[in-house]
Amino acid sequence: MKDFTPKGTGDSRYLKSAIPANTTWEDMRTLLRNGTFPFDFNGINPDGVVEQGTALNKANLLSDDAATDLWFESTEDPTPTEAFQNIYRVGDIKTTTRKTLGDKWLLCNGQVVLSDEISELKEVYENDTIFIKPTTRGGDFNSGNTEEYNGKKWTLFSIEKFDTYYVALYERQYMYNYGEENIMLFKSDNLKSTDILNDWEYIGSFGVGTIYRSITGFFKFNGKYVLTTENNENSYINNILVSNEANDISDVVSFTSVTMFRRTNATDEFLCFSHYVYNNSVYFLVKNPGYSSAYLVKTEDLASFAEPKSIDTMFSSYYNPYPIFYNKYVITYSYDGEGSLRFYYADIEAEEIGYKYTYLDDILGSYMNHIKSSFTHGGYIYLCGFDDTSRGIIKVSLDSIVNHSSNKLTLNVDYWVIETPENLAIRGIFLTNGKKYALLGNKAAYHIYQWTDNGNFKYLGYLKSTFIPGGYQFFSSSERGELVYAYAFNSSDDPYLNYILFYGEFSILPNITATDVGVNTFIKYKK
Amino acid sequence: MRGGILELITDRTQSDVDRILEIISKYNSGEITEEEAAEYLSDSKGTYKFTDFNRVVSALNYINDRLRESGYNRTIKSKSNWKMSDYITPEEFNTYLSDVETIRSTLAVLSSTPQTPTGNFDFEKANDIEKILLDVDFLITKTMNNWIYSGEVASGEV
Repeated sequence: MKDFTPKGTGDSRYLKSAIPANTTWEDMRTLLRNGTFPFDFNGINPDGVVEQGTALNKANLLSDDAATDLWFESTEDPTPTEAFQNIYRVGDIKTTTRKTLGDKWLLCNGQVVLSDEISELKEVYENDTIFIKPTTRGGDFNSGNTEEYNGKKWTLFSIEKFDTYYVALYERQYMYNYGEENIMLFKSDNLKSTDILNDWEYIGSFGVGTIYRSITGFFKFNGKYVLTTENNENSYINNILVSNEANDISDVVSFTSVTMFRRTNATDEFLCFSHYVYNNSVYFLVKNPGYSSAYLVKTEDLASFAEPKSIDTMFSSYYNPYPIFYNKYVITYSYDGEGSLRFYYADIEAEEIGYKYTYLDDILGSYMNHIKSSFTHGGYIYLCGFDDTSRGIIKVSLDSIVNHSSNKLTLNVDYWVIETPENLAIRGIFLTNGKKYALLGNKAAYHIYQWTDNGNFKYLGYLKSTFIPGGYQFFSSSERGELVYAYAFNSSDDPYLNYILFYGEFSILPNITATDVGVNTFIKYKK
Repeated sequence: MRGGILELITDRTQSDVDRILEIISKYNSGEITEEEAAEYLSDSKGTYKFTDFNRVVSALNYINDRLRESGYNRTIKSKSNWKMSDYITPEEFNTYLSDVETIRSTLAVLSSTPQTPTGNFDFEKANDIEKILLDVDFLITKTMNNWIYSGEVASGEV
């Protein structure tokens, strides 16, 4: 650039004024003193300058071409300030010997950050991670990791989201007396920390009577928090545990046992293992696995309960997957041993419920008799299965299951096969934050893929965990938004190990290892 | 009147058009004279021929070059080598008008600057096109006259 240099002869620049021809000097002086003398700059007089210099104009300060070179769109019209800020864009990586580049840069050391904190970076760089925390949900009361708190041993049952916060529910490990505290609650506004006992807000510990084989459900209904449990086989009572009226989990001071129904046979063993909130009522699903019976028990107020309605043998087996609730139907599925995958469904509002089924059998491959995992989304149920010879994902219309004119589902009309890549024995599928994921693995590690209905599979990486799953199978996942419950077990001696996955809340930054000491690599994560 | 270095025309009138219609009528009736035929084939303001397209596109390119020197990056897509035997297609005419709009929308224009024509094309819209180019060319010059140069002023002074 060159500076403007006048000759000093008083004639370097022309001015053009709109003052009338008859303007007097006194008028001019008045205009000048008032600051209202009108004129335009009217160009440079080349005879009055030594050097005209570089104009401070668009062409020299920030032309369209320069803006394009800095990755601006043609419609953006940036300023030089914005251009300087854009020399490094969000997602750019810089290597330097400096120890910090300011608060818009993060060190690329593979650190895990809360996704909300890098929302601009996430638009260009996706690397979500999963954390695993073992729970007892759906499994043996004595399984899962034991954690010590206030001198007692606890295991995590579940994390549920209520309104805008999360509640972690711990149940006490065995060897306590009846009446002692055996439930513990923690609260957090986010899922940033998996160290619940230290980082979450302690709500309280409660004595809720004997819990045999673990809690099975934890939810909120009509301003009260509800726990369901598997029943003590020596009691005739099937009960739920209801809190005091509480606006927020912090307002819970106690849980009261409420009887749902009394069994008539001492050998009955009823497990309240699921619930469904529908049309201002709660439907509890209770089954007796040893004697092939299952019931739905309805309540509108958590105080009085309708007569249990039989859904016959629909959930008789221990090995039925968890139920799917769709509008007024409860649905489950199993392989019938004769080449068909059956979907059993029952109308929960019917006077006499019973159940019906639809089925499909036009699947190439025997994997549908080894369904490992499922979830529902957008009116469909997605199931994955694998065996030694085949593997695949099936997408089935829930409407077709419950409203079919015949009971045989038609390929590409009522259900679809999603092609999976060869050699991918998918052990589980789950959905969180609106995206579908597949889990592959064995004892050593799990790999995560993201996939879409049209069969695109994208490899994301290893499951981020220090806990090595013991299982060959990953089954029965259910989606809770950011939280996914996954179950894995080892086919030999290990007990059921159940897990809760935190997903989508966290991101892993690139891990770029410096080749020289004192050299750091940073990524720009906000403008 | 042809405006300045660009030789742009902004004063076509209905009488110019009427004169051409009269000549066409005489041609159809076999009464056209040699002088009238020559008048029709000339750059009469009552017609819009390949010479007009070439002239306007040449002006578009000239103005675009001046805009580029001022830091603007625009592209003129119309061809500038029309021949008497060419027939312009609707798509090519739309491109022609689109180029006029590209130039018109690059700088802020005067309140008296016409809008880029749309719809049926007539002598008034032909005038508007060339008035737009004259105005933009004028404004580029005025803008350049107002440039401040490095070393003249301090930050925030003007």
